[in-house]
Amino acid sequence: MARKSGHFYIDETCIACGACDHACPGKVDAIYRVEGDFLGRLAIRIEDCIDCAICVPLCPVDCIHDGRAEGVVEGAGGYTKIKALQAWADNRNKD
Amino acid sequence: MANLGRGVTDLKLTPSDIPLAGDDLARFETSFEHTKEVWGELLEENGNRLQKGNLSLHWMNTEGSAWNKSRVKPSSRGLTLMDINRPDVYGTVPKIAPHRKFASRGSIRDQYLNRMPDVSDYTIMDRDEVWADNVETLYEEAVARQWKATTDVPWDEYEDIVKLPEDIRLASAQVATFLTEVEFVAADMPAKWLYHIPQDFLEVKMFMVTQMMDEARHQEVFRKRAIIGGGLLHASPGFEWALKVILEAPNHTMGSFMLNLLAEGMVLTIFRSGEMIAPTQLDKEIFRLTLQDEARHVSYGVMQVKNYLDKHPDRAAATEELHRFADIAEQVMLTTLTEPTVIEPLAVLLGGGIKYAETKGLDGVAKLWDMLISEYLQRCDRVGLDRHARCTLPRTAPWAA
Amino acid sequence: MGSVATKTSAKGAAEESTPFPSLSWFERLSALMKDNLEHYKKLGYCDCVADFCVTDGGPKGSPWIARVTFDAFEVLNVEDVGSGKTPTPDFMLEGSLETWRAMIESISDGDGRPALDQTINYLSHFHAPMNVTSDDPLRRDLFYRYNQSLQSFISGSSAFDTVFS
Repeated sequence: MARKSGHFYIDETCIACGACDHACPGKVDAIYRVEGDFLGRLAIRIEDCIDCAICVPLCPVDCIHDGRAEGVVEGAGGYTKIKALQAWADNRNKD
Repeated sequence: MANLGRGVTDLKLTPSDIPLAGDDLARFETSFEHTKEVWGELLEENGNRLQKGNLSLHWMNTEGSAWNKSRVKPSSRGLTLMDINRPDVYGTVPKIAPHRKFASRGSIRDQYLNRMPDVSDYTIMDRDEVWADNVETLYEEAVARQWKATTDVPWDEYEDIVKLPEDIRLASAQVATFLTEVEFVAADMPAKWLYHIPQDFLEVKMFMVTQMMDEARHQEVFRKRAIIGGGLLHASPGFEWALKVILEAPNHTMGSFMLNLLAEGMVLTIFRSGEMIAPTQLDKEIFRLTLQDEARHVSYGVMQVKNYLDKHPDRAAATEELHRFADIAEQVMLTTLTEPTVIEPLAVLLGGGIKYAETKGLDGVAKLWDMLISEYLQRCDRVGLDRHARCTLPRTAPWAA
Repeated sequence: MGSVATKTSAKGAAEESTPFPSLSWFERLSALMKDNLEHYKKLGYCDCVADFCVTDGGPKGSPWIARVTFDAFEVLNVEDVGSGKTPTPDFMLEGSLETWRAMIESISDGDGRPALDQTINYLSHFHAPMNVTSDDPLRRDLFYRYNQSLQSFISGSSAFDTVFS
């Protein structure tokens, strides 16, 4: 029988401190760094997550959410402005 | 046979024919003279036993300990702090440190209290002046993600730096220079407070040591970057005032607010923008490596200040105190944000050369300014310190207003 | 005395045995060190010149010494220095053939992990049956500073069969 998936996710405003990664119970180990992401941000493998929520209160920017309670939210607790700089940088040489 | 213990108790400090170079040793001798009855007694007792060839073996008595009662097991990551802190006897961090000794939390120690010296410099006895709920996991993360500035940066690509246009080369060396000026304060500040934190809050002490190691590595990597790229350039007087405030903050939480939340937070924002600032792959790699270290420091600072306010018996007063400190902290930070040695090389790098520094470059820095301030205010929100109305930092860069 | 092979290790089953003491034995260890660069990088630099001496391993029971020059994470050079030569090494680890053999067999039996009492540090701790000598206490300390790398280097012998002459 397939195991149920978890419901927690990390939004894109993660600052990559890794406090949640080591909070995730060892055997579960559902949190990982997104490969190739310059900002080194973390994500949750929902198929491994057991919805224990231990990671949530340890996040300094409130970027871990319970999809059941909050749905998919626009990240607001963490760093939200880097996109604007990235968009500017992408366009800076087009003028 | 000489009596080992009496040798200490009867010790008389004899004046030397050779004058002492200073009075430090004399002060130490006088101070220690007052304590020798206690340790002399210990030495006499232990020395006499050994002279008789006897063993004490009192340390095999497990009464009063959690011996064999708290079996811990490693998790799949190894044996973490969280694993060993699972049993209450080891993992419960007292609200008030019970004493100023070196003995470890969870060891059999109470019966020896009157025979152990007090470390009077352990003055931070309230856990909530230093604790953060994520300090254990951040410590594990810090240890797991240590890197080497000597070999983990692709220094063999240094010719990419040498080939850069002169203005870009100078700008990147100046950025590296100001980073060498600021990085060590994040080692000095925890070093200052570390010594005042008693052993019961060992997880905090351990985390602080990782932060110091991180900053040593940042000092190393930016110094190497500047020198291999041409050399170190100019000091930043404006920055030094902010660094001084960090070191002279009235208490640990205010220092942590200024260092980890405000200053390190801003450095983190700059590092996170490394994708747009770095002129070479080598520089990008440096920013990528350093930003993860900075993120841990910011994470600790945010959660520590939050914990301090959340647990403070008079939250309103504590909040107001922090506001008043922030009023000053923000102004000295503004002194740094207007420093030409910081703003101008960033404008050159973001603009793509000195030719575009005052146009595209300052436009990019204005975006960075917007990030710095808004992210700082987000961090303040997270700790429960609403600075939106009181923040004295301009929300937009002066030239963009 | 005839040649006696150590207990055959899985890795060395199909390979030619290497005599001990010999330069080729230390050269095989050096090649293994090169093959395991990542492991040695994790342990840290190992910068020293070490003489490994078998006190009765030479002709007619005379000393036999291999000088190994470690540089960062690899071996630069292995040479036979007979009964010693100048300049002196940073340190010399010496022991009888019997001692070396017991240690190497223990390493082989443990598939690279010697018994607790068969590590180079244990065997030399009280100056017998192995001993660490040097002209200079600071240079002798390199044996302790790089001990894990040096142990790993010697423990590499579990990867092949050793024959003792």
